Amino acid sequence: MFIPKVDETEFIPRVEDFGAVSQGTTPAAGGPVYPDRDPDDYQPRHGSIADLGGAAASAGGPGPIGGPGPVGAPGPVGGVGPVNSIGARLGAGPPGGYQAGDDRTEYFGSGFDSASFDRPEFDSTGFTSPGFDSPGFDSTRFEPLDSGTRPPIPAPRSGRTALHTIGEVLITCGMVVLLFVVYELYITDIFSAQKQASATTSLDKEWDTVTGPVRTNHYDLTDGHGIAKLYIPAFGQDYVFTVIEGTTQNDLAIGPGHYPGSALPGQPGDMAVAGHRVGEGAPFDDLGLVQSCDAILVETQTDWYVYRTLPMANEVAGWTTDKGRTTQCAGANGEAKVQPLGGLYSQTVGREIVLPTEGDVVAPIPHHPGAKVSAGQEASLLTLTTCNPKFSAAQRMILHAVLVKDWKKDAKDPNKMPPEMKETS
Amino acid sequence: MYGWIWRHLPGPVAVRIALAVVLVVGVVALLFFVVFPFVDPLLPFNDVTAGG
Repeated sequence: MFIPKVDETEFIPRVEDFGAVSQGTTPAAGGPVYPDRDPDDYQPRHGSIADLGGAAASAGGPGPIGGPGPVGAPGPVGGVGPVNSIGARLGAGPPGGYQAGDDRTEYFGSGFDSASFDRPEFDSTGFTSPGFDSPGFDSTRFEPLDSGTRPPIPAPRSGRTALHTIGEVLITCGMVVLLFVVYELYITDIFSAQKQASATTSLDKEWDTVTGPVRTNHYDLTDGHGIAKLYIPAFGQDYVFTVIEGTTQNDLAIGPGHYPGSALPGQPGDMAVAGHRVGEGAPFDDLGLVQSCDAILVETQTDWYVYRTLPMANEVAGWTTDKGRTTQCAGANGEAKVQPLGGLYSQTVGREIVLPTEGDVVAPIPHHPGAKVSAGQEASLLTLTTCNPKFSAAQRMILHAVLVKDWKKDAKDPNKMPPEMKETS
Repeated sequence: MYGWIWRHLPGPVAVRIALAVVLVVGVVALLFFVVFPFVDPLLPFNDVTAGG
């Protein structure tokens, strides 16, 4: 029995392959089947081999599907292989057979191109199991068992080496980026902690040096020098940072930085302090958790200044009835510990999220740069600024607090802490 | 790259491993103490001042 060997990837049907069928169904037995057509042109009319097989079966002609025709016999690729289909096709002529000159385009279609067997969508691997003839089979990897020797491992080609190196470089870059994240989040904390400790030590030394019987605040406003200590009891009694003069990167690496020219602790105006929210000690990491009424204390050589966070924008309206009456805010006499500010200060609320360009938030009267109020009416504000949201520089988070109490330090017991330090929530 | 370095490290495997560890530590130290402190101020998430 004739079983054509088919390589699906290069299948070009030839009329000789189907000679027996042709002779059996064509009146001119023995002659050329279709003399006016190049046998290499035989092509399926439909979009795929499977279509071809189906069409042939449905034609119902005397094709060799299921019959004894040699070409229609099971090919090497099963029931819907191309050879089978072509065989059916060839055998399915009209009852009278074709005559030379007949229009057979309805049958063969026009524009046949044998290359269509190599169409990309024709997946030859689906028709056969991987074998020694499959394109992906690299016979060089296999040696007969009895050969006794193995071929030497071929040296990597230069293209492969280059790819290898590129991959290694990319992985290395990824590691470097990861290391940078570790550096930002953890290593800078270590560096900053050392600088902060050193600044605190030098500030403590300064404060201990009593220059005279009357102690008055003296600030060394040298850039990078500690000027005061900042406490937020709501974050725990151990939350303390030495505020550094200046807001350059180097200053902020030491600790929260006092905006040069802004008010000094306890003074009328706005004491503005910037601090990192991520890395470098992250003093203002939790600034978003500060609530209205929370105490923020500033310790100087002679005083404890108690600032309290102002009512938030959405709390101002119902302050006296709602938030202002909670145990967190209500003082001894039932009054809230802090009241919303009015007049030019009405825009100064507990927390603001602003654009980085809005420097007005740290003006002596926030949002009203250059405005003046009469001497007794000027509030003593404390404004903390940090980046927002975390890990981003898109916005700034601004926290406003107002001075509510000034405790003079007892010269005999300078380490005594004010009662507000116990307000840990 | 790493294969090339490994092939050019002298000595037996133990010595090579020790040298490789020293190299890695050196590179990390260089990054942490020189490169990252230099790059850090150039990146935006350290901008915490308003109006700056």
